[in-house]
Amino acid sequence: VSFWVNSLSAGIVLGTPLAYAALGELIAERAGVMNLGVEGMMLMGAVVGFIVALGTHSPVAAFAAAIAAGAALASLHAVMTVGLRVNQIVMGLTLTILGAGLSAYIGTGSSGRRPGVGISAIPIPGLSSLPVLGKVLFTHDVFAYAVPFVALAIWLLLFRSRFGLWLRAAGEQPGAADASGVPVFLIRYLAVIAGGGFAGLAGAYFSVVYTQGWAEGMTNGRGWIAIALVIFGSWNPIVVLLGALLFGFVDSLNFQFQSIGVPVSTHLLAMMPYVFTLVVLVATWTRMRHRHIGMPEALGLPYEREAR
Amino acid sequence: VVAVACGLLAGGVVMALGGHDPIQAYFDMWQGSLGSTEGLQSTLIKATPLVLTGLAVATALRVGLWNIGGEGQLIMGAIAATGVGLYATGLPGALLLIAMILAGAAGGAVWAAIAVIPGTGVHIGLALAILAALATWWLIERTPWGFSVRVSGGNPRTAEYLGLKIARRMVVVLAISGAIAGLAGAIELTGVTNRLQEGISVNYGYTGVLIAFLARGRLLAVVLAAFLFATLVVGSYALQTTGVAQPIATIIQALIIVFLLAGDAALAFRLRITRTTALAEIAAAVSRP
Repeated sequence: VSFWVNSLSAGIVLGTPLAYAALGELIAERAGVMNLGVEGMMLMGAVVGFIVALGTHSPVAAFAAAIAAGAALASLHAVMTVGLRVNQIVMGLTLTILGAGLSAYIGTGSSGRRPGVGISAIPIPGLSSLPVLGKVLFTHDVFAYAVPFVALAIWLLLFRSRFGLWLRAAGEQPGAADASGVPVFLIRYLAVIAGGGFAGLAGAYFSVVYTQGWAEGMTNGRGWIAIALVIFGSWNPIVVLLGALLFGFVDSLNFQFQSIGVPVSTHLLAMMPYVFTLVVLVATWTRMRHRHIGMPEALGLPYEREAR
Repeated sequence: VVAVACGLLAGGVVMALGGHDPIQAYFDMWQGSLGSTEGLQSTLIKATPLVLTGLAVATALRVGLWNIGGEGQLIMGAIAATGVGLYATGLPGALLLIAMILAGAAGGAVWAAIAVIPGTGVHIGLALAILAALATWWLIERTPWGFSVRVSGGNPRTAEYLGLKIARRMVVVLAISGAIAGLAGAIELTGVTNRLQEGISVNYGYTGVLIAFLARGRLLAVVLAAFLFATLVVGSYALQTTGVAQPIATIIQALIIVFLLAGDAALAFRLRITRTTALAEIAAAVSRP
């Protein structure tokens, strides 16, 4: 039992940053902008958050700086793809590489050091002593507790508010939205930048909370997983959150199997989450073929007024 | 070219901000990458996988797809090559078959080819890469089949009217694209590292996307673009001695693309007035026959 409890608990910790990054990407994609730069933005968030944590010993400042760093990189994406209407895929990849390079450049002196601060886990009094459930659900840090509420808030924003309707309209039918007076460009800018902020936060979670250190390329492809999770969750924040947690759980099994000495290759186990993602992607795609739900119609397409 | 200059300039600004002398740094980079025999040699070594991954992306672009999985395909190619090299030493025929089934592992067949040529290394790999570029160019640009692929990618609707099977062409071209990336892995393995190791690909796959874009998807220009990027990477190794971090090469590469994209956009804005009308007429004529 303790094995599964540990795995589930660790899964929540691993799934939390993924959930933030994926939710951010979801906002941008719902507004019609694909941002493949999640990995780069996470790395920038990680390095900036880490350095600020080193300098100020303030987790609040660290996360604020990380969010700003992610948002700054995202605003470059926004200017290029929304403003100048360049190819979103190329720009996103460029952003990933730029983020990887910049973060490595900035972080050269900082690898191997410890941040000195962290966000400690706060067991919720009473609830955390519940058998099984207590350890799994109620022994985490602020970010893990907040993530379901963030997902819910995003869901409410998207599907129960006028702004959300505008945002989705900008992603589905920007032409029609524009004609009916929705500020398509403004919304797309905001959505992309907000998405970057989430990615930056996710990155800092890795460097400040989870591994408590900075290493070049430390996010290790998690940004790509976040992008895949958005598809997995068919652009629904609640499903995306569940997907992130599920992925975190599969990921944590690797460590857990090792710790109890199951004779399975660690590399094979490390591959599991990715195989899992691939299977899910194919499954989602097949499902999407039958019912036309999910993908914003204008995703990836730059919007220009004069066209057509 | 303007974008490259701007990228280098902006890279210099980054270095200056980081407290280093950009002019000295660029001089060192030049020395390290092109200004000496060893430098040139390592630039060529570095260019080899980049030519191939760039080519892989550019090929897939021809059928209208973005192959951003070059990274994994490269690694799979390296793994398959190792497997073939280790276990299938005696059977060249079966070996070929295996390699063809695993699209990402076409390199497996080449592995054998390289192994029999004495004095393996850089130049054979590079020659193979350029050969692959020429072959792909010929296949896509000069054969009827290649034309049908370009039609499928350039205008899917037209292709559909013509009765071309777009999906099938996509799969075939992606397989070719994957095979090219796999080839990169196999060559890198046999020519440079000589053994399978983790992290055999240093972002080659992703850089390939940038290269393909810099080359505007033109298959032969890929060779030049790859060479430029290799120069940057190798040059940046020389910087480590002067204390400027090596990631600067990555930053410059990304900046070049940013400027290229911005330049394109600026050009598009200027051309729009004249071009939209013409394009709209053509589009109207095509969509309502």
